Amino acid sequence: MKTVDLCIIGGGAAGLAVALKASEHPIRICLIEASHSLGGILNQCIHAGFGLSHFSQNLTGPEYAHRVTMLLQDKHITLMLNTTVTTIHENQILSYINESGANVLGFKALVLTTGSKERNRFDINLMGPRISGIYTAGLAQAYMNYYGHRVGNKVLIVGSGDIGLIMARRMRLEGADVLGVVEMNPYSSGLSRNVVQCLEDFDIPLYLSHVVVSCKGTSRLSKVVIQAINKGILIDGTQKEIACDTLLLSVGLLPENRLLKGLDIVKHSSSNQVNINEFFQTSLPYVFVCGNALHIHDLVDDVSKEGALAGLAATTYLLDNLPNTPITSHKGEGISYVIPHAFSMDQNPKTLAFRVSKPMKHVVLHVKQGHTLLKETRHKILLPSMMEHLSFELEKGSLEAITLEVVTCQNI
Amino acid sequence: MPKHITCIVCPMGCSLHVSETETGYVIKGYQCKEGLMYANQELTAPKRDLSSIMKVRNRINTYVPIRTSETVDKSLIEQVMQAINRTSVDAPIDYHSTLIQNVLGLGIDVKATKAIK
Repeated sequence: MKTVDLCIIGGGAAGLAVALKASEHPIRICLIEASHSLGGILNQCIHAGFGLSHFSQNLTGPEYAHRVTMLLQDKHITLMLNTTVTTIHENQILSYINESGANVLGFKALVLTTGSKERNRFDINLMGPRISGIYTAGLAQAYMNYYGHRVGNKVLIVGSGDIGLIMARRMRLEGADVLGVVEMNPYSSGLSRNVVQCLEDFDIPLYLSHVVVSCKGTSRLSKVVIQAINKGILIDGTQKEIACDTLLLSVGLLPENRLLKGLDIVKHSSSNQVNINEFFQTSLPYVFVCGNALHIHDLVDDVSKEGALAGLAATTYLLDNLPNTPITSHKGEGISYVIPHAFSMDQNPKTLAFRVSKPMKHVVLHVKQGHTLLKETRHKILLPSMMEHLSFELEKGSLEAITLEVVTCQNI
Repeated sequence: MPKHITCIVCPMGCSLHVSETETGYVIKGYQCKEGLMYANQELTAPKRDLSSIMKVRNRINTYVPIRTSETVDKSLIEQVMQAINRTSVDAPIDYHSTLIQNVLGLGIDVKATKAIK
């Protein structure tokens, strides 16, 4: 059986960043990618807005993928394209399948960078007949941008996440009639830049505090009924019928970590996130996770940064070893999640990635260890659609847990 | 006629109100200098990034992603899109090669954002 030191599963932005960092060290690296080319989801995101912090340039998705892939040329990495990992076994062996058949590969450490999957109609309890014309926004984006196939003529979009907004503009530019974007929350969950440039520029209405209550049609979707909602309760008399042949769902992404099923790996109960320490290491010490497979990122630049850190950590694990991480970290009031979930005791500055649970202005945040205040920060505005980072230093010698919480804020 | 602009300089997303007087535009509601500059640009010459795809003739089911070499006047985006959709190209295509030179005489090129072998 062939064996490598470091196996990376997934050749998107995260996996490429891990590979690039790890290739600085004399270890045997194997990068496995299911599709025929590197870059992952970047390849179908043909719009600009990537790379502003990582490359100090406004790049499109394919350009970002090209730049990262170029950096990897001539590095000692075994690339396995068109290869799907089917199982990760307990004894540091994985099974894969490709055109030469089914095979196994041994590894000493593994980084999972398998990205995310889209939430679908059943995740939002959108019942109704099994008619055609209902797609997730990312799938419609793949049809449009890879194959030039526009999936519909009269399009309604559910969810105002960035993919939904980008697809509203894309379908409109390609000649479809985009009838609106329906958002359950009283605020958009996408970047304000996208609300302006994808909706306002084209006079596409944004129905805030609205949900889809039913989809109608015989073989193809013919109309969608939407209704206003207030604090989770549908408001009588506000139903509106929209005649359309296509419904695109942009209702969030979920980390894709199915391959870890069956392994002795702890997941964070509420969010389905894999529990990791500050070294992106799971409860199985030789398995690491980063990128969207760990938590959903807004900017690919942050994924590249995270991938480099995980690549360094996995290499350190192989060549040296990583310290224990006995200090746990937890979300407090007003926070929807924190990453990582555990820290080592060393005195290096620590960083937490987090999101707030609702939009808020004039915010004061506290990082506490036990009852000791480690850091207080003030923010003009924090939105659930923006991942934030916060650095702090631990109290010397303390093993107590870290909590991040919102102390005061003004609701928007 | 009063106009409304959402500022996109930062996540605050300030709501800017514009009214036109004989001496020019009066902009209210901004909270920083960048916001004022953004509103002025939006009022005088709004420009946008434009990216799309272009058909590759000699490959099955293949499209190459493209972008304009510079931002395009917002009012001309539909026309540039039509020019892109009228054009098709043959592979191989180099990364950043020019697929339409000086589109519509605007002094802007349409470039491939991916190489097609």
